[in-house]
Amino acid sequence: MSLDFELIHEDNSSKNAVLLFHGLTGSPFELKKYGLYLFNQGYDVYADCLPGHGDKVSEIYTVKYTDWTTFASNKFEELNKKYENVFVSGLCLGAVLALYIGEKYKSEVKGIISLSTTLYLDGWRLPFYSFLMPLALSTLLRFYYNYPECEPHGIKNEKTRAVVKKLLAKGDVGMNDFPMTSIYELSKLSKVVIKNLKEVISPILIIHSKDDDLTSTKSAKVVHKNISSTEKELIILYDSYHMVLYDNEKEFVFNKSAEFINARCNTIKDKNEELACSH
Amino acid sequence: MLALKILFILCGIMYIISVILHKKYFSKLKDNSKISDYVALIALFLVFYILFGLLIFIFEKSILYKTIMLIFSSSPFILGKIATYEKEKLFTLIQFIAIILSVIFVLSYLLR
Repeated sequence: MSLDFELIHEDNSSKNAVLLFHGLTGSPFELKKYGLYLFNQGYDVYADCLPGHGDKVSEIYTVKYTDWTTFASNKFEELNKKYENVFVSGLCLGAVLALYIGEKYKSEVKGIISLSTTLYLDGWRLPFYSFLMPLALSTLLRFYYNYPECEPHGIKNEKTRAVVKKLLAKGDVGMNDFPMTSIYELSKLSKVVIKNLKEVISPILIIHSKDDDLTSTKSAKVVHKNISSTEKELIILYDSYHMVLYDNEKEFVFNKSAEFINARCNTIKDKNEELACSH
Repeated sequence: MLALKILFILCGIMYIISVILHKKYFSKLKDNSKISDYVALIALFLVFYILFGLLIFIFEKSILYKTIMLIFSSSPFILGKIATYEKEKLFTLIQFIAIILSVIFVLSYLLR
């Protein structure tokens, strides 16, 4: 069952597209409400399943981070040919991929919205022995188990958590645990992204929860500190966990994201008009 | 030095036993958090195996002994780097052989 979605205005009126990337072991399902909100603001929205996250569960064990980056790059290039302005956004692994696209395509990316950026796995939910994780990842131990998806499932809101738990149990919206091999690939991607953060020059909005259970605010702060973008904003949420698109402050995240894209589009429009006048 | 070598041998043996138990029993458990705890225990044996191996490397005087200990101690990382999911069983076997060889190597010097 494909959970990919493309929300395109029928009259092809939108010159602006938003490319969304989902999180590790997640699916585009987790971006659906967010995507719909942005679509209703007048943007075409694209969200595809990342390699290794499709129908064949076994693929997550063999996927390489380069599969993700190639996929994301191809998708961005495809949209960049079709639209005047392309924005990228993502959650968790998706946020890291959005940053990668920002590093690679620089000013071609009109804006980045990075949600719960997972550069370091250091959230409060991790067990006390998580300091052994680097060793486990760099040896054969990474093949021996999957890190369990457990309470609170990245969600502070108890009602939403109960619904997500049911969906996860059915396996409809993502995997029930994180294979260490995929965490290994995420850590390799994170290293590449951290190394090249200064290459990011696009405007950026970073949103991260103070109580993120999977990755602390360190990731967001490292991004905010090291990128070269002159327009950058870091927003810390105080009533959510990792899944900011489903938690208590989801409307705030939706609004801020739309505001960010609207503002960038208006700036670009003004600049184009100024250029047209000067000619 | 004797204590270090004995601890190195014990950790190597415990690592192999714990991985075999994992494959035969623990990996089949339904409670993933118990598997997680158990793998953390295996990781501890591996940490100490590497640590004691490196300490022997530091304190041993013979260049040949040092070199061999360095190779054995770094074998988990070397194999981890080149291993793939598809060939996990093969690499697990190679890791076992490397640890058994290291244990025999240290033991043979101890028994001289």
